[in-house]
Amino acid sequence: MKRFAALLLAALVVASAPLASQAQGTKKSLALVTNAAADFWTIARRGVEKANKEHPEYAMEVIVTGQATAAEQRRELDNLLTRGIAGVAISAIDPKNSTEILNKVAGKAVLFTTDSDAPQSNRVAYIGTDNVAAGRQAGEQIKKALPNGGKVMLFVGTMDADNARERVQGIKEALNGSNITILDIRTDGVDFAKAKANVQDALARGGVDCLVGLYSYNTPQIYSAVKEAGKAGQVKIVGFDEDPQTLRGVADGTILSTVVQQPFEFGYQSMIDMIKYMNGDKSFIPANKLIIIPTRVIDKSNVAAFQQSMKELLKK
Amino acid sequence: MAKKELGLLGLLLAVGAITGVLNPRFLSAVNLLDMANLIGLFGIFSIGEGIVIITGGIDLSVGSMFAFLGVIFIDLLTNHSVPWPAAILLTVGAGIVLGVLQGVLVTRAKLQPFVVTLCGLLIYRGAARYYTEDATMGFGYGDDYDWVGWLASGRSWGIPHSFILLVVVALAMWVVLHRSVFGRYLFAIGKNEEAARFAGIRTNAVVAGAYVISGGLAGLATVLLVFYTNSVSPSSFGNFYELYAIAAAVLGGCSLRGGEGSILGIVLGTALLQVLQNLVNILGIPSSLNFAVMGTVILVGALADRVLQQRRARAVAHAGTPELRAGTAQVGETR
Repeated sequence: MKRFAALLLAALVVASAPLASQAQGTKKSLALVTNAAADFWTIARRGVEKANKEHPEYAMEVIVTGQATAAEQRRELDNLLTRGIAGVAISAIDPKNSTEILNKVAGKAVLFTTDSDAPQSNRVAYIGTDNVAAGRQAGEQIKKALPNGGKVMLFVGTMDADNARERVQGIKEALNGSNITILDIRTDGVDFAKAKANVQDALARGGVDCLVGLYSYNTPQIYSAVKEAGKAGQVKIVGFDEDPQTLRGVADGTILSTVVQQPFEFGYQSMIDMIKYMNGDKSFIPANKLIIIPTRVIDKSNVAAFQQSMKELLKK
Repeated sequence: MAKKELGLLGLLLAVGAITGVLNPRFLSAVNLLDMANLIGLFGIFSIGEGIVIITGGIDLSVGSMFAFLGVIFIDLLTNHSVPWPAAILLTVGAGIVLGVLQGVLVTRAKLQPFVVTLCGLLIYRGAARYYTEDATMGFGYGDDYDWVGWLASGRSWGIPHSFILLVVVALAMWVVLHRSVFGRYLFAIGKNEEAARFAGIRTNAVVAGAYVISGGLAGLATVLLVFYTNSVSPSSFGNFYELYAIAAAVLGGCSLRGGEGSILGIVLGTALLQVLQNLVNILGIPSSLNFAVMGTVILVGALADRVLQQRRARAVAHAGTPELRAGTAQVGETR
């Protein structure tokens, strides 16, 4: 019994540590819920930090969905509701099947979606990329990489997420009518080693002219696999997002270009807009409830300046 | 080579031959060497896992250990400018320390290995994510580590270094497991821990030793895996890798009840798992079927093994060897 009591005491001490830090003050709290753990969200976090500096009267936090599953997000949202959250911006992992929980959140707090939208839910607005447009941009880059046509293979974490589906849709739209065909889409379940093995297998199998990485970690894995196979320059690469290795590849010419989103703006604007909305200002919301932050193409011409700005943002 | 390993080798060759016929590029040097690299990466920690399983235990923590040790390793190199030999030693050392902790909890506190290492799985994963604030750790913009990267994930004479290291580790562990007193003790404890203790074996020390080996090999594998992916996402790095290790060990003839298994079997089991993943890509089978293909082939292999065992047992029974007649239900390999 004594032993049990000691164990219980230890458990209580451990459990109370985070409680103590949460209990301080009665600031309204806002949260950004991510769909995975990535540098992408570190940059968004910088945006949230900037917003928090401008609005210190709110408590802002970034909740990282490490396992990248809809189930984990559901649990996080339930926890946030229990704690009485005032506003949530979320990158929904499985929007179609999460409508119920999202509406539960929307009923009790201000709900925005960012990065990955959930259009069927009662969210106030979506702040983020138009992933179909981003896909089209990438599609144009693929055409530039393969002026005489060829075969493309796409690499992505999972195809459950709408942002992956939409990027693929955009790429398909852009390639429609050209003599470029999409051989296959390989998924890796967000396992980096598997992502790289997928690329190596594609190179070993052969018959592919251009590799496209749809998620931020896919492009660096393509880059290192292609370089190690000694096929830099022979196989074209088009990517998404701004991993340091991706930018390195763009700078050294192995990667033709990468389509980048502006996660800093996602983090910053979702916080600022939630505060505006809570204060009764709804004028910033367009009729279609989509606040689009455009994507940019980073290629050899502008990569140096972009790398510099990234270093600034990711500095601790 | 025991019958079980021969059977596994046969399955491996059969799967390889079928895939090779369907797409000859499967047997191209490039593809075989890529696979050798992955077999090296996964084989090293699968051997550690197998040794724990042989004692009748299990180590569920290795996947999370990769994330935890991986972020520490990158942090030491990039943020604390620790020289790379020291960083590698510290990482392997940290793996050994975690192994000691788990070994002590299993043997001294008498907790079940499943519980101890399940808690390890949760704690190390959480620690890794907290340590990095969930950010992906990488080598950043520079190429200062290209040389160590080459050492850990490069190739010499075309052979991937990870595979060379696996051969070295496998030979060393083969001696430990099959040619040393310690190895005999591991098997004895796995068969019957109480009997081993009454026979005068210091079972606690031996069992703890198995967890130390597993931790140390996990530390070594961490370094290789980090340089394979060049970055560590603390939440997903190494996720489920303990299951690959357990599957490799069990495929290779380790019994989850303990007391059975061999190094060669574990390496062959790892090879089969990697071949299965590779063939999905080479044959252009949809990625979504990856795990289903793996599961099906393992199941077929296990069933075939079972049927062959029973047939052998029946044949032996018919032959009328008296000492085996009583044990027709289960004829284990006693080496």
